[in-house]
Order: sequence, then structure tokens, then C-alpha cells
Amino acid sequence: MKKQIIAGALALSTVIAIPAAMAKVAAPVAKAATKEKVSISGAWVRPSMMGKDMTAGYMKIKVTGTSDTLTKVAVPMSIGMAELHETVMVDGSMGMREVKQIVVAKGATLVLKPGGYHIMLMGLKSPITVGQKVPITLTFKKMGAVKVTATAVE
Amino acid sequence: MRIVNRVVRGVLTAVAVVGAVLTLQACGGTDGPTGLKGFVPESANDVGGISLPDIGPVGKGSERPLTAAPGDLLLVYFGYTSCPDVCPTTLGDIRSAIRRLPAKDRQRVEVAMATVDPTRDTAAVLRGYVGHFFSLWRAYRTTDPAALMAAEDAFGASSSVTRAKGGGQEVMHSAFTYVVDDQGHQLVSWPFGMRSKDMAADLRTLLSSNQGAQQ
Repeated sequence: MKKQIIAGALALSTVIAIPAAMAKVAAPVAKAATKEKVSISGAWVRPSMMGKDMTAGYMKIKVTGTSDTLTKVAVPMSIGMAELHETVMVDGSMGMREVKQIVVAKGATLVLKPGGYHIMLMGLKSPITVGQKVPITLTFKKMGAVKVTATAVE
Repeated sequence: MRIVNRVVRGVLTAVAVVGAVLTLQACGGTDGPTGLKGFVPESANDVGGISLPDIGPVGKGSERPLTAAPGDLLLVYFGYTSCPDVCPTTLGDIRSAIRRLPAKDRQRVEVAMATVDPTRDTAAVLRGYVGHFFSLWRAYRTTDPAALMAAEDAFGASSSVTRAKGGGQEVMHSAFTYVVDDQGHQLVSWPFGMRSKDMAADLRTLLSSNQGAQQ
């Protein structure tokens, strides 16, 4: 079992290919004049499954200029609600927990990916289908709100 | 410059060696005698005596053993449909692995998902979910916790469903995929995050060694 746990941890740390998805990043809404900068790439969400009102979204968030803290994720109410979650492994078992904030060091890239941090989308008002654009707002302590559009890909 | 290069190369070699050792330890003999990429059980793990109700298109609710059809392979995954991250990632990877196989081999691989959350995974929900991913599939669903636990124990899997503060459910589950033959032998298991091309390599190896049994 110990071996399996080690492997699980290794598997978690391996790079999981993120489908090429178009991500349009708008400039920070607030404090645009400051030195802080974030660039978001590869934003995608998994289409929701039939009969399920939930899914997950992923992206890479590079923070330059200063460290910052991601404190909130949101989607329009017409879509549903969003929370920042993390998949964790405890004694060889995997589960999810909500994360209140994630500190990103200056110059670091926060990777939201399957098996790790992700944006949990729930209470979906209608199914998310392949090709659909999902606007997501990320709120940072210093930078304020940053908008990104994620595309639903299989 | 040359010295620097040598130092860099030395460090890289050391890193590579450590990495290789870790990989070997982790996978219980990756590329060892079996050539399999996943974990090979240290002792024969027989799940042939285990059966659960299969609500899939073939089982239609009848008890079926968790073994493959003659000469084929059955991939068994214990999961739940309200799992937005780990389960669809794994099932998607399995689907990609099967698509990498030649057409004739694809017909020899069936995927079974056993739900660890039968309360929320009603028959209709579970059927829709598993059927979304695969063309050859089974969906095991029992409402008897003891039967589920006995099946999990046989595979070396585990799960728990607890009520969360907000009223929702919190589910923990081992996220391995188990490859089983027609005799109920657990041949190899794949951890979460296993690449689909490695899964496909294992399937090719196992299907070719099982060729005799098929004919």
C-alpha cells in the first residue's frame, strides 16, 4: 500500500496534458495601474455529464510583479455557482475539499489541473456542453477581479 | 565552462538516477519482467468469487461476477458520478487508452464502474454516466454496504461517504483502476494520473498474452 501511496503522489505531480483551449483574458477590472499582473492560459471546463449539475474547470495562472492570493472564484448566477476546491489523497483515498485561498508567489504559476486544485462548478442551471464559453471571475487580494473565459472541451 | 557542464551533467545524472529509482519503487517494477506500466500485485489477487448487481445493458440488474468475458479483459473502477474531477478524468483516460487499441482489441476490453455512492447514483444516473464514456460497459450498483465493502476488500479498494456540514456528501475513495481477466485474476492496477498511452501499452501486453485463451 505504501508503494501505491508513493505512486499516487508521483502521479499527482506529473504534468497532465491540458487540452488546448482558447482563453481570453481581460485586463484586471480594478487597480489596473498597479504593477501587479496576472496572465491566465489554457482555461477549460469539462462538459457536465447527463443528469449531473456539476463539473470542474482548470487553468494556469501566472502571477508576475508581486505575490498575490487567489481568494474567490465565481461564475454568473445564470450558470450556477463556483468554489475553489482541491483534490487530496489521504491514506490512499482521494477526496475533495474546499480551499479558502491560494497564495501565489511572485513569478510562480498556479496550475489548476485534474487531481489537484480546480474550480468546482455546481448547481448548474443547465448542462455545460462542448464548445460552450464559461465566463469565470477570479478575485485576488491585490489585483482584484480578473475575468477569464473558459471553453468546454472533452 | 567545461567544468560547469560536467557539474551540470553530474547533477542531471544524479537526478535521473533518483527519478528512475523512485519510479521503479513506485510502480513495483516498471518495465520489469512483466513489462507492465501499472502495479502488479505481489501475490495473486483473486476477485473471481465476487459478484454484484450489474445494471448495465447486459446485466440488467442481475448479479454478475466482476470477471471478464472469456479471453477478454475487464477494467474495474470504484467511483461515483458526483465526482467532478478525479472520476471523469480517469474514465476519460481509460476511454482514450481503449481508442488507442486496434479495432479488434477494442472489442475485448469492457469497463465496469461500481458506484461507491448508491444513494445519489440511482440506476438511471449511473447508466447514463458510464454509458457516456464507453460502448462496452457494466455498471455495478448495490445498496447493501456489506456487499460493496466485500467487493472493495477483494480488490484492495476502499471508500467512505459521510454527510458534510453544508448538507452535502463527502466522498473519499481509492481511485485505482483494476484490470481483471476471465478467471478473476487481478493482473495490474493503475493509479490515478496514469497516462492513457501507458494504460494502452498494458492492455496490448495483456491482450497478446491472453490470445491463447481467446481461441
